[in-house]
Amino acid sequence: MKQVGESVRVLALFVFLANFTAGCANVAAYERGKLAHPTMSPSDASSVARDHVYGVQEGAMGGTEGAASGCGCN
Amino acid sequence: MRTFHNLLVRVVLGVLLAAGGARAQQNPKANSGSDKPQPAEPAPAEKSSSSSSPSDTVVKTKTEFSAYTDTDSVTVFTPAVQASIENPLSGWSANGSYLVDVVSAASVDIVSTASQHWTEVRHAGTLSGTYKPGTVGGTVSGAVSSEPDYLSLSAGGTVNLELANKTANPSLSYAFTHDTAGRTGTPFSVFSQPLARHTITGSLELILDPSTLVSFSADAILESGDQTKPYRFLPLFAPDVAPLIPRGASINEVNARRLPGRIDEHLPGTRNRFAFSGRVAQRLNGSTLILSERLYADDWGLKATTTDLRFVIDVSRRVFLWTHLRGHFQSSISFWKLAYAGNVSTNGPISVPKWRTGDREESALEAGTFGAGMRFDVGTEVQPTGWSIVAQADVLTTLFNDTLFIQNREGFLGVLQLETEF
Repeated sequence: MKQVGESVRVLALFVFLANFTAGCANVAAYERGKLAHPTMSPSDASSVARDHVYGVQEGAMGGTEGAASGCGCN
Repeated sequence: MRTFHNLLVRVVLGVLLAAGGARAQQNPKANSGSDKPQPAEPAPAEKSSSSSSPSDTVVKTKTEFSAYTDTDSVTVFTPAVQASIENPLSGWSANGSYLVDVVSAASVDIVSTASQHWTEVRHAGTLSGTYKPGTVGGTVSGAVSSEPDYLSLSAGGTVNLELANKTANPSLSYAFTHDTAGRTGTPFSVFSQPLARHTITGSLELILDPSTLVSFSADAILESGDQTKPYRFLPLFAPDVAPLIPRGASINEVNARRLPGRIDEHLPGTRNRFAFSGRVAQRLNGSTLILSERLYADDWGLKATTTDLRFVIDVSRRVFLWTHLRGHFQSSISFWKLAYAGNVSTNGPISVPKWRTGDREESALEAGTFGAGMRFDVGTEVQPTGWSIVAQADVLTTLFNDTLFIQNREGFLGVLQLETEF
């Protein structure tokens, strides 16, 4: 039963992503000026110190840009 | 101090230039910071042109100074430098970073065990290289973090694809991390605890329309090894006393009601973590909205949701202001206890819970960040982003629902960055 539940969840995820993919527009290169704006980048306003604070103070991991190591909290 | 950081920037740049200088080629994106339509990029077949010149290579640096302090008597100063060199047309780039964390702590956990206030310095560095000549590319990366009682080494790689005329860009990455935890003043050969971590990440970036980017990523983080903190000792209470210990009980109250002695932390030898996250970035007229969400669960029973929102307003062509909001909510791990109950006698057997921890970041908590920032591009008229100053301030608050000693923590993080691009 647990495996069925996992399969349903995975299937739902694929359907969700497929739905988004189907909604994608074929945007020409000359139309991508807004997409290339610096504020659209994940690295804009990023801070290694802030990432580290969240890494130490939140029990969750993953879903962040880039990789780091060590915690400075041992 | 200034000389020291100039030296750091030069060292990192020197390494990167040495790695990539021989391949310096063209630069079509020296300044992509406007909303004006960008010229069409050449077809991939044209990207390997040998007519590129070294002067077209883009070099970026970022120098960061940050300070963090909170009501639990922890302060951290972090100077950091990052540098990258890239040639977008030929598709190669190299990145490097180095930082120093100076951590000073006299937190309630330290005070409650009658330990001394301590100051520690951590050094961390990363290097990565990317080659993406066409629609397929790859990145290799490595990271080192060292402090007196902890060493972390990691290496990994990523494969990137561009599909449907760059409308859908999936990637798959893997990283292996080997950590060694020890005790300050004791060689790793005498005492050390290894921890291995495998991180597998799949991500997909989609262009929904000319102003909207959406990305998803899924992480599986598989850890094995002893994660017990060698300095962490917990109070133990008699079974009839433990239920009576209130949330946020003071050090004096805990000491008055706990059993003699303390027990060490003890954690399971493996932990499998899973995260699924999504990010939407939309460029509006004169503003940008970025919303991200992460859902997290692991086999220790911790479940979490994290929502992060940033709204950027263009004050002018050179000045950008933003607000930053973040909310993080998590449950506790399955074996979390406010007060662990057990029996300790001098002659009889000792009975304590098998798994136990005092790490309040493993307890149920709610955390919020309220912040603001400003970017001021002070470069030339042709390239305003040639020099940029970024200032950010965040107020962080955490509410602990089921912990000893403290029920909340307020922190402040200030960040000042200087970015260059040439």
